Amino acid sequence: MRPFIQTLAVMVKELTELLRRPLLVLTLVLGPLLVMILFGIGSDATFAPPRTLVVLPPGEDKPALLQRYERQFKSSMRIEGYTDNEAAARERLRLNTIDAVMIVPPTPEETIGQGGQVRIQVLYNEIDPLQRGLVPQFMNAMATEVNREIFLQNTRAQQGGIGNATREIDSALRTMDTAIEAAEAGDREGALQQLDQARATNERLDAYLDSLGPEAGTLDPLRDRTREQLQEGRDRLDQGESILATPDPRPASERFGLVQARDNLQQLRDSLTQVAAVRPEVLLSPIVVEARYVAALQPDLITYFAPAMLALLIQHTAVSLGALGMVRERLANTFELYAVAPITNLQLLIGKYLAYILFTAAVMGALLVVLVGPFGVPIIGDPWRVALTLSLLTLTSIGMGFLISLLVSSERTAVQYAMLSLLGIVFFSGFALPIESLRQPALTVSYILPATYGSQLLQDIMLRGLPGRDLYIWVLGTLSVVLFVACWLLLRLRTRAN
Amino acid sequence: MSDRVGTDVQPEIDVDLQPAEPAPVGPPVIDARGLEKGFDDHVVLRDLTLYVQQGEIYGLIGPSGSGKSTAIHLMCGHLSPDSGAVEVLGRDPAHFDAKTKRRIGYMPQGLILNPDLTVQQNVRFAAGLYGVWPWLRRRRVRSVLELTELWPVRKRATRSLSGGMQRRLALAAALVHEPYLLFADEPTANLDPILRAKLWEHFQGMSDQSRALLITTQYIDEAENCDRVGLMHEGALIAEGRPEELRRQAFGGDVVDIVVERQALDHAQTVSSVEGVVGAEMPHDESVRVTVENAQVAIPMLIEELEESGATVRSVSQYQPTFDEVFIRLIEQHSGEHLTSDQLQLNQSEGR
Repeated sequence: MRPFIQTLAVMVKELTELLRRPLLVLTLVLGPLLVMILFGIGSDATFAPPRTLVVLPPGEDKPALLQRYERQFKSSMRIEGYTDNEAAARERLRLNTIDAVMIVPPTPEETIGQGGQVRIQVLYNEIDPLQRGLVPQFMNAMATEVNREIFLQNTRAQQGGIGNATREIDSALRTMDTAIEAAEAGDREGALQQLDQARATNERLDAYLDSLGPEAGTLDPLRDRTREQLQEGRDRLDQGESILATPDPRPASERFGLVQARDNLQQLRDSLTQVAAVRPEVLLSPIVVEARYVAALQPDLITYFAPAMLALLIQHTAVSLGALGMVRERLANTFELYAVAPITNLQLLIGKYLAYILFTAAVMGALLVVLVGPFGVPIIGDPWRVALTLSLLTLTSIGMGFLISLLVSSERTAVQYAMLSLLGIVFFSGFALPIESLRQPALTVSYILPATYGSQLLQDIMLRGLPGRDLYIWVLGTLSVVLFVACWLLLRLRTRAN
Repeated sequence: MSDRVGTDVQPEIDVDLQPAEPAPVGPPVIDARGLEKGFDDHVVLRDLTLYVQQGEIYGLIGPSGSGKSTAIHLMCGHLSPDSGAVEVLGRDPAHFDAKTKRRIGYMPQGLILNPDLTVQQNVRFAAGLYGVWPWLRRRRVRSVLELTELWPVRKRATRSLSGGMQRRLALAAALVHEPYLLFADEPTANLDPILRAKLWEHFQGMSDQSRALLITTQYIDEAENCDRVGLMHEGALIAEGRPEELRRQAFGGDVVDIVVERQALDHAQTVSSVEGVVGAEMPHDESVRVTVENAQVAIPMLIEELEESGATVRSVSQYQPTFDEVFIRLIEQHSGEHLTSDQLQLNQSEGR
C-alpha cells in the first residue's frame, strides 16, 4: 500500500507541476499544432506553373501556334508576357523575377507545314532541388499536349481523304468487273479499254493515298502489288493471242490476271476501310494507361497528414516534457530528497511515467477530438489498434525524454535536444519527405525515431483500414522497454551516493 | 557579552554548580567512527567520530565550510565516506531500507522542493513521498505549516517565498512524517528570534518524545539548546560535550570573578597559590578572574586567602562565558592562532 501511495504522490506532484506551468504546456503542445493546422489550411500541395516570359523573333507578332494552342500553353506555364529582347528576358531570369524564358524560333507554323520540327528553347534557373525538375516537366507536358492536338487535327483531315480514295477504288472495281466480263466474252479490246480506265483510276487513287501521309504507309505493299498487277494484266492482254494459245483450263479473265488485279483492289479497299475506321486518338496512342483510384478513402492534405501530425505532436510533447521533467529536478536538487526518502528509483520512475502518460493521453484525446471532429479525419481501421499504437508511441517518447533529461546537465540543453528531436521527426519520420526517398545514414535516424513507426502505423490504420505492420508494433514495444530500463539504470546512477 | 550572576554584597557568593548529568546509555541512533571525506584533492572531513543517542539533541556547530553539511550527507547516505564507518539506526546509510528511511527526516541547507508548487503542495508531496497515509496527511500538513508559521501563505508558490520562508518550508517537509531521527542543516538560519525559539521548543518536544536530532547551526548561542554539542573546524571535530563541559574545556575549569575593594595589591598573584587554581588574571584593579578546577571547592579557599592578604572581598560570582567566547577560545586552542568571530564566520544570534 505504501509503495502505491508514494508512486501516486510522485504522479500527482508531476501533474500538479505541469498544470502550474500552463504557458509551457501551451507552447509545447498548441504551438506546433497551430502551425500545422495553418500549414494544412494554407497549402494545397500543388506546384504553380512556372512564370514564363516568351521571347519572339524580332519583328514577329505572337505566332498563330501560340494563339491556337493558348489553352495548352496556359495550363503548363503562366505567361508573364512577350518580348523580342532575349537579353532582357535572360536578365529577368537571372534576377529570379520569372521562372523560365521560352524562346520561339521564327515562323514555326511554316516549319511544321514544310514537314520540319520546331525546336522551342526553354531556359530556367531554379535552385530548389525539389522543384528543379518541374520546369522541364511542365514544358514537356505542354509540348506533348500541343503535339497531340496538331497530330489529331492532321489525322482527322487525312481521314477525310480516305473517302475519296475509297470512291476511286469502287470505280476501279466496277471497271475491272466490266473488263473481266469483256475478257470472258472474248472482247479483248473492250477488256483493254476497261483496264486502262482502271489504271487511270488507280493513278488518281495513288495521289489520294499519298496525301494521307505516313499514316497510310501500311497500305504501300498493297498499292504496289495492285499497280504491278494492273500493269501485268495490260501486258497479258497485249499478248492476248499467245496467252490464249497456251493450254490453260482457267477462264480467260484469270489467265489475263484480271481477277487477281481485281482481288488486290478489293483488298486495298478493305484495308482503307479499316484505316478509316481507326480513330485518330488510337492512331496517336495505341496504348492508353487507365489508372483507377481504389483506396477506401481519398484523403485531402489535412487528412493525409493528420496521423503523422498526431505522431509528431505526441513524440514532441512527451519528449519535451520528459526532457524537462527530470533535468529540472536534478538542477533543483530534488534528487537529494529522493535519495533520502523511502521511495525506490523504480517507484519514482513509474510515478513520473504515469503522470506523463496521463498528461499525454489528455493531449492525445484532445487532438483526436479536433482531428476527427472539425477536421473530419476518419478512423477506418480498428480504434483499439490506434489506441495501442498511440500508447506505445507515448511510452517510447516519454522514455526518450527522460533519457535526455538524465544525460544533459542543463534545462537549456534539454530543450535543445527536444527541438533536435522535433527537427528529426520533421525531416526523417516521413512527415516532409517519404522514407523511401531517404538514404543511409538518414534512414538509420528515421528508424530510431518512434514517430516514424507511429505515423506509418497510424496512417495504415486510420486511413487505409489496415491493422498496420506488426513488426512496427513490436519495435515500438521493444524501444519503450529498452528506454525504460535505460532510464531506470541512469536514475540509479544519478541518485547513488558519491 | 558576559553573563554575570550575583550582586554586590559582602561577600555574596552566587554560583551554579550542578553535578554533571550521566551520559545517556543504550545503542546510539547515530554512530560515526573516523569518517573522512574529500572532494578532488580537498579534504572536507577529517576523522569524525560522534554518536547521538535516542532522545538527544546533538548540535554540530562550526563556521561555514567546516564540514557540518558533509557530515550530514554522509549520515544520510548521500555521500560515501572515503574511510571510516557510520551506522544510523543500526544500518549503513548506503544500504538503508525503506523502513529505516521512513524514520529519518532530512532538512538540507538548500531548497530541494519544487519552486513551482505551492507551499502546501510541496509539503503534501513530501508527506506522500514518505508514505503518510492519506487520511493523516491533511492534519499533518496543517500541523507542520502552523508550526513553521507558513499556514497563511500555504497557497503561495514556493519560488515567491523569502529565503527564510523557504527554509521553514524545508523544515516543515522534513517534519511532516514525524521522523524518529531528524537531520536538520541550519534549520534556524535567517529566522526571527521568536520563531527560532518556537522551533527549538518543538525540537525539545521531539527530544522529549525520545526522538533524536542532529542539528547544525552557525548560531553558536543555540548550542545551549542542545544536549551535546560538537564543534567543527576545518573538517575536524575539535571539541565535543555538553555545553557546560565545553565551557570548562575552553577555559580549563570554572571561572570565578571576585570583586575586591581597590587596593594596590596583586590579587592574581595572591590567589594563584590556592590549591585547585588553574589561572588568574585581573581585568580591572577591583576584580580578579580566577579559573579553578572546581568552583565549589575553591571559592572558600580563595576568599580566605584574599582576606588573609588584607583585601576585602565584596562579591564572588561564577563567570558564564558566552559560547562565542567559548568556541573562539576552543578554536584558538586547536589552531594555535588568535581568531575573531568575524574571521570564523560564526554568527551570534540577535535578541538572545
